[in-house]
Amino acid sequence: MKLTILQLFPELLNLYGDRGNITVLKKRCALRGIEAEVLTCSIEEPIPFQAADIIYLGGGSDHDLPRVAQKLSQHKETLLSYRDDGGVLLATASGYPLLGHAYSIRGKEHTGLSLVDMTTREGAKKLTGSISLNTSFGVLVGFENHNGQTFLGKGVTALGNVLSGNGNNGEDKTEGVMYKNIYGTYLTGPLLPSNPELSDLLIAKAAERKYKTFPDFPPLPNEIENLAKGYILNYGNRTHKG
Amino acid sequence: MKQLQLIASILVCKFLIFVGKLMGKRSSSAPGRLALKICPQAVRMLSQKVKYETICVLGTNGKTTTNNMINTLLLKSGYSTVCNCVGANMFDGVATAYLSKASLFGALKADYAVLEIDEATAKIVFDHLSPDIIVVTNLFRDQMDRYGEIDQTLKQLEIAIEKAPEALLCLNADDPMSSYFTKAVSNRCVTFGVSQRVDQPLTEEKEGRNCLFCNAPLSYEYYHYNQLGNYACPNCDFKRPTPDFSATDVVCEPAIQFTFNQTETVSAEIFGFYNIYNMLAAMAVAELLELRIANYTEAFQSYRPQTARMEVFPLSKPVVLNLAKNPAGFNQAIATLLNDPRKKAVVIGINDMPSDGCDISWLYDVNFEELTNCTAYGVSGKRLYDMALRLYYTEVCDSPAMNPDPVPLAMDFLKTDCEVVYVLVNYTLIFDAKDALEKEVKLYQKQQKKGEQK
Repeated sequence: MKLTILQLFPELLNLYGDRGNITVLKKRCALRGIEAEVLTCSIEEPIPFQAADIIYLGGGSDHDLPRVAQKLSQHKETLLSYRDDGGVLLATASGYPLLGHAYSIRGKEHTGLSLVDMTTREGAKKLTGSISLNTSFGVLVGFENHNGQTFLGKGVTALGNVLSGNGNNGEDKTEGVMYKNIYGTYLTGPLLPSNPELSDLLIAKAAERKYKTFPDFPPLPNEIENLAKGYILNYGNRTHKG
Repeated sequence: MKQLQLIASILVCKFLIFVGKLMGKRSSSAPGRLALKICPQAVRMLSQKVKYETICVLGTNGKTTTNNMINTLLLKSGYSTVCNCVGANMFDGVATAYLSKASLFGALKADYAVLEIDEATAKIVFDHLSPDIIVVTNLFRDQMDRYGEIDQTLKQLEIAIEKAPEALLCLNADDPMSSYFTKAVSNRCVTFGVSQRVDQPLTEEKEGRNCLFCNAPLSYEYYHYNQLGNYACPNCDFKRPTPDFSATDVVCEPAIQFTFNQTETVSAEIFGFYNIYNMLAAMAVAELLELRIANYTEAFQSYRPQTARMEVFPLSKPVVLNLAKNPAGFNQAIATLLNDPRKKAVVIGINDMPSDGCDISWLYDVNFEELTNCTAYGVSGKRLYDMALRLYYTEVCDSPAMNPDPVPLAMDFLKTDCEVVYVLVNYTLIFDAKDALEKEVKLYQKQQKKGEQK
């Protein structure tokens, strides 16, 4: 079995150590005997969508995001058919709002990719701190740091419900989005190390799409992962702001 | 009335420092914080009483080192100073420095003020005092959840510098984020830099690779570390300025040696390439103040590194303690460690208290991948499990030893097959680690003496 992970524009979208997510996907593939190839693609290069089994869109600076969105919108049709074909995509932190119809940065509204029915407006304050959420596949933890307030359309499901922290907008207790195999979240940077459930789900969905059966992975111990998660669940509260 | 308030605030500050000492605490911020409540104008009133220049040191890394080096050179030249030597670089720390130096009647006898100031605090501090020289050491990614992104830090500094239009800027020519100010503001500027290629054993994430004026990717003839090097913008006229104060013929192993301004050979028992920048900045200030230091090698002999910058503790084997707060600092520590040919065990400690930064995503900007040839690995601090995962997923070590406290791990490693133990920790772990290691050294020396008597 072989999966290809496509990391988009690492020169711009590695603001918060996002490369850690790629490291985790690679290692957890290897532990299941899956060969994982990582392709990186700079914003100047043509994007090898055809080869991708998992696409990763990390977080970038306010300054660079419109450029990223502009480049991706040139491939909107390809992305839409990737989505409808069950292609797996993970967008994190400031990459997440790009999935929706529109997003705002410093008072200016920009057009998004419309891969998911959602819209992001600029909030009055930055939502910063540790966050935990309950999802259909387990509890996720991480760190959030965003000005954006994202509101989901009626037909789309949130990634999870906020246990502590702010989430999509600090109002409706939702966090992130799942639509087909597109996953978006405000969790920043390296979220996969302490959330193996999400890593394994992405790998399984990608394998299912490529090899037509949902793989029956043997469970991994995840001992240290759970200890890291436990820290945020027990002590993360003191870092909540916003 | 104001004078009475000032005197009251001095009394309170001095009293609190005294009480703190009795309790064995390093009180460097709290006394000033309370004193400022009594006399909010204390810094403004006292800073005007400094006889000559006020020097402020800003930047992400090397502030404390540079500040203390400048202070050393001034003291060595026979001057008295106000200095926040302990690294308390918020407004209350600056206030503590002035108030503790003042007499009980509100007089201040100081020739110079030498102050390190936090990047986000500078714009507040500069409302209260007028710096004559502002040093910007470098700008790296640090504690992001506090500063926002690096462009925000740059903006904060710009606002601060605009409040001090008369100040002379002393900038790092090799850092495009620092030398940005040669063009971005109208202040007079001088620069310092390392004017030759020096091969460093690491490649890492680079900040600000794009020109800050036209956004084109900068082209580099060479990198020193991070975004420091010899750069030029292919699109506009922004490029590394020719430094007014330069280092050439650089040697870093074992200790630092270089030629200053093509004339004087300077050597010092100071380790790590990055310290050349701190020395250069301090020497630039000394030249600007016309201190006429005849021999810098001799002058730097009286410089003592502050707490835990590659500080060696002589136990049965040496234990090296180092503070690193961000990717640039950690990568430099790893580079120093890799240059050490001895068999090494390493303990890494990561806390996430507010002064460390609550977000630890930066662990993935540090090149822990390079740390492959150690004989033992340990992780500690509040985020020890995240650090363990960092080493596990990056294939450096599957199951590092774990203990929230770094020093017991280091003591265990002394018994293993290594020749030196490195302890690399971030800010809120450093003081306890230093205290614990000092205790271990005393205990060890006692045991050695007993052994000799037998």
